[in-house]
Order: sequence, then structure tokens, then C-alpha cells
Amino acid sequence: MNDEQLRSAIKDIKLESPSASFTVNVMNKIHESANLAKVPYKILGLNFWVFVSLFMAVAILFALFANGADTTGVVQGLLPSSGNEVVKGTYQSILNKLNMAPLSLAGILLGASFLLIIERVIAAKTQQAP
Amino acid sequence: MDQKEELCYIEKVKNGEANYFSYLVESYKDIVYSISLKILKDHDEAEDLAQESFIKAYNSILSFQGKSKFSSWLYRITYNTCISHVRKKKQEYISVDDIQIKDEAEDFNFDEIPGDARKKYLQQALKQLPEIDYTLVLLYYFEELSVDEIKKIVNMSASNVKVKIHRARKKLYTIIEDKLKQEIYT
Repeated sequence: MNDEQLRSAIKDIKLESPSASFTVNVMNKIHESANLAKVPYKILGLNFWVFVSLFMAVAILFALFANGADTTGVVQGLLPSSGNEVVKGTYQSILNKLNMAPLSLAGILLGASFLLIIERVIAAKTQQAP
Repeated sequence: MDQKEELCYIEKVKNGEANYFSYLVESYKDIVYSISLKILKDHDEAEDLAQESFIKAYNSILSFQGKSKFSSWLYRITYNTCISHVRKKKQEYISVDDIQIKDEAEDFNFDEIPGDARKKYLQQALKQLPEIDYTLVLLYYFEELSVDEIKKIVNMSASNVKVKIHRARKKLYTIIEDKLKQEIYT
């Protein structure tokens, strides 16, 4: 038997078929993935803004007390009517510690924020790719 | 579906009209499923992987430039999807290849067998072929793809494809002859 005879014989046979709902299932999955792709992806999500707010708060505190200013007046200003020496002492201690906060903390936060943005941008681009 | 019609549907899908992809699924589902089934040997798995192949094709249809046939491109996706699935499952890819080709296989005359029986024997013989031989026979004889198109699908050299098709054909004849002899003696 030559090639052509075999070809016509093979073309005559019935191939195995998938289930009757095969095409519908494929199209449903395609539509589902298309709908998912339409959901807008926020590059700068909630976590990012929490992170930035934290960084800003630390940066402001750092700017306020970076020059080694005496924080006693600040505590008295914040708690003018309080006579409780323990509370005053605690706040004083916190502010003094913040005053001592190393510049590297701000640097770490800034670096981490920057990396977070890059990660978000890459993730957004990857999701958009076909 | 002719080539022109097919390209028209592909263009529509590329332009965001996803529903036209269903025509392509309808046209190729049987052969995609047959290849998957032969490699995976399980109906459910074959159906899942055949669906996955179509979804992969849809998701990357923008990269299809029409330089090759859509069918060749789709079969390559199917073949690679199934083979990587088998490898991922760490199944040993055992090819059932214990068919001893007989020298006289080429002289086999298929015309002596009546039409219906011929179909039955051929179908049975195809089922017995090893995965790669079955795929090659299907692509070459059923889909009428050229050796150059097939080599891209199965990632083999053209000469290797030719040799394997030749051997697969001989195996087919050998299996059918054996079946005929068995029937005569019983």
C-alpha cells in the first residue's frame, strides 16, 4: 500500500472526541480570564500608603528633634494640664529616644518604599502581559 | 473551515472578539484531544490538558503571526503542554515500543480488506502505536502536514521525522497483518 492509499484510509477514521461541553468549557475559562484581566490593578495599593505614612511620620519626628532640641517643652505643651509626673516622664523618654533615632532608620524606610514601588510596577506589568 | 476563513477568525480574536475563538476550538478539538489522550492515557487528564492548550493558544494568539499554519502552532502548544505535564508529574515516559517490524510489512495490501473492517483494523492499530509514532502518523497522514511543519511541532530533525514516519507506517502494517492472521486462525 502506498502513502496516498494509507492517507485516504487514515482520513476516513473517526478520531476520539472530548466531552460535548468541551468548547463551552474552554470559552467559559477564556471569558473568566478576560474578566479578571479587566479588573484595574492599583500600582500603589493600601499597603504602600501605610508604609509611606509611617515613613512620613518618622521623618517629621526626626526633623523636629534632629537638632538635639530639648523635648521637655514639647511634652509640657502636649500635656499642659497633666500633673502626672509618670506620664510626663514616659512621653519625655519616648521623645528623647526618637530624638536619638539614627538617620539609617529613615534611610531604610526610604529604600524599602522605593523597592515596594518597583515591585508593584513589575507585578502590574506582569499581570498585563498576555 | 478553509484557511482564509480561519485567518479571518484569528484576526477577529486578535481584535478582542473572543467568541470567534470557539470556531477554532470546534475545528481542532478532536485532534488536540487525540494527541493529549495518546500521551496522557487518561480521558479526564487529556480533556483538561486539551482545554489548557486551547487557553494557552488564546492567551498568546497575539504572538501568532501567520507564518506557519494555525494548526501546526496549536499542535506544538498541545504537544509541549502534554509532554511537560508528564515530566512534571515525574512519570516515567515509557513508550510502548515492542512492535517488531516485519520486512514484508511494506508489501501489505490494504485493498484486500473490506471497507468497514479496514477502518476497524486501522483504528485498532493506531491505538497500539507508541505516542510519538501515533502523533507523527496523525500529523502527516490525517492532518497532511509537511515534514518541515511536523519537525517544529515535535522538536526533531527533518530526517528523524522522516525515518520515524516510515517506521510508524511499517508498524501499522505489522499490527494490522497480525490482527488479520489472528482472526483467520481463530
